[in-house]
Amino acid sequence: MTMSAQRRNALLLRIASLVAFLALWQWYGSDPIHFATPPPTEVFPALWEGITEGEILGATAGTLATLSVGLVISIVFGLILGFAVALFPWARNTLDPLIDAAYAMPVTMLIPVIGVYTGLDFRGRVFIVITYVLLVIVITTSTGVRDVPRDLLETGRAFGLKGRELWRAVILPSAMAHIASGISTGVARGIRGAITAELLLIAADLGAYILDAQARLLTDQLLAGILWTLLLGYVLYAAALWLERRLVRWRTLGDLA
Amino acid sequence: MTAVAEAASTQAKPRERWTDNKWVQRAIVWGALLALYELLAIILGDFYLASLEDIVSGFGQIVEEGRIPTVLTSLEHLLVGFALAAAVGIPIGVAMGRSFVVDQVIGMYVRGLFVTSLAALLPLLIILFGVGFRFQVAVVFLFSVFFVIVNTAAGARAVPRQLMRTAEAFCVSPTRRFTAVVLPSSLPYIVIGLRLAVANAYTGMVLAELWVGVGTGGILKNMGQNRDLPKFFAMVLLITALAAFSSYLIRVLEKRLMPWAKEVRAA
Repeated sequence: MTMSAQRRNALLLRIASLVAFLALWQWYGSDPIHFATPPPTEVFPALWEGITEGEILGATAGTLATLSVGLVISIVFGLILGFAVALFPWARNTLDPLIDAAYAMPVTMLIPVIGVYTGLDFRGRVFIVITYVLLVIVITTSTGVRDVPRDLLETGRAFGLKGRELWRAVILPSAMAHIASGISTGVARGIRGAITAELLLIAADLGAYILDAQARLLTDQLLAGILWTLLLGYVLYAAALWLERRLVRWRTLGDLA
Repeated sequence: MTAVAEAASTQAKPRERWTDNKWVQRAIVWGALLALYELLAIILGDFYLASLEDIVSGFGQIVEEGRIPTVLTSLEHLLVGFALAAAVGIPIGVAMGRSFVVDQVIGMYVRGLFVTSLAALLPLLIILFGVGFRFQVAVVFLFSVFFVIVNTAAGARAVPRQLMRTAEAFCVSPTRRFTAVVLPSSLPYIVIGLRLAVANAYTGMVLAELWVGVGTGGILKNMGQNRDLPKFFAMVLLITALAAFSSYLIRVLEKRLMPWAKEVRAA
């Protein structure tokens, strides 16, 4: 099978799968017994209505604001902590076990108490996003800086690089690959944190849109909100991955060539 | 010493000092952190932070108040959901990893749900399943199954081609090929998938219980609202220890059952 034939088959299979899924959903949802899951012919108009009336887009902007503020704070502190853990034996010996322990904790448990420290609004949601993202950035940064392939390092040394030059030409570009993939994972975790906070801390933005539809038993609007939120998470992660690939390829080619 | 630390350190190596021992360092830093926390707790008062000795006695209070059976019930939901996720996820993952058609047909849904925010599905699940046992299990299942599928598929894809060819050349039957070649070489990936899945299953369990205010999550919600912080923090530490222990247990089982397995990276 040639490459293009395989690609075409893949595309055909995906389209067929999507059509089959929508048909199945339509058939299942049209049955009045399944009132909780209205068919696509009701959900998509509801979604379109939510978008054109601005309600969904406004909520999405709010969610994205929470996500981006939380991400930026996590990245700044995560890089600092990650570099500290990688470079100073003191920091590594003492912080590594703490990071592992914190990573094992289901942070969602903290939702009942954090309102008192941060408030229930924007700051509280940003805080939850940070609890979801920070550790991933710390871990990927420290492994990235620590695990520079030995042969790369030796090659750099053989070319007479040391100190700052070695950092600029070898260590940082190599660590960038890890850091960038950490940030992509951070985006995926961050949107999960943001949505969890909007649903559980206090209803806000996309979470409020979904909860409102649930409370009023507007199942078409509920499914539209859920579908939109799921797609948003997927699109953001895909975009982060795309950016990561471009960024990392540019770094490695630019600095090693 | 790692390669980079070597590169970063100065040429002249200082002599070993007693502060280079990591347990000495840990004793100093962790002690300082605990002292700082205790100081903060005293300054801020017990509405904001619980002092260390209160947290320790919080463990005793949890047991006295009979919270442990509630935690066990939560763990039962966790176990059922997790077992379902493994039972459903492993076959789907193997199918995705070994078959191009299956990968194309369901791969996009799996990968989509793997990365996106599943919490958004909870309001729908409540309408579908109510707030009882089925809802709790469904949430745990959803929060863990995609980790199993994605990692199993990565493992099934990583079966060495040479090994498959050799098996074919020796006319090994497809079933035997599956049990003797495909499964053993995907097992390390399946195990890492299970470990990630169990960690996430705890998140799912807590989330579902916080939502409807039952079980362990319900207790946490009450303690939080009453600002009963000693017991709250004790409970959080307990659940964290359980989550870490579950993941550790799977790792130990892996070492016992398949000592030949190599370290693999999660998908």
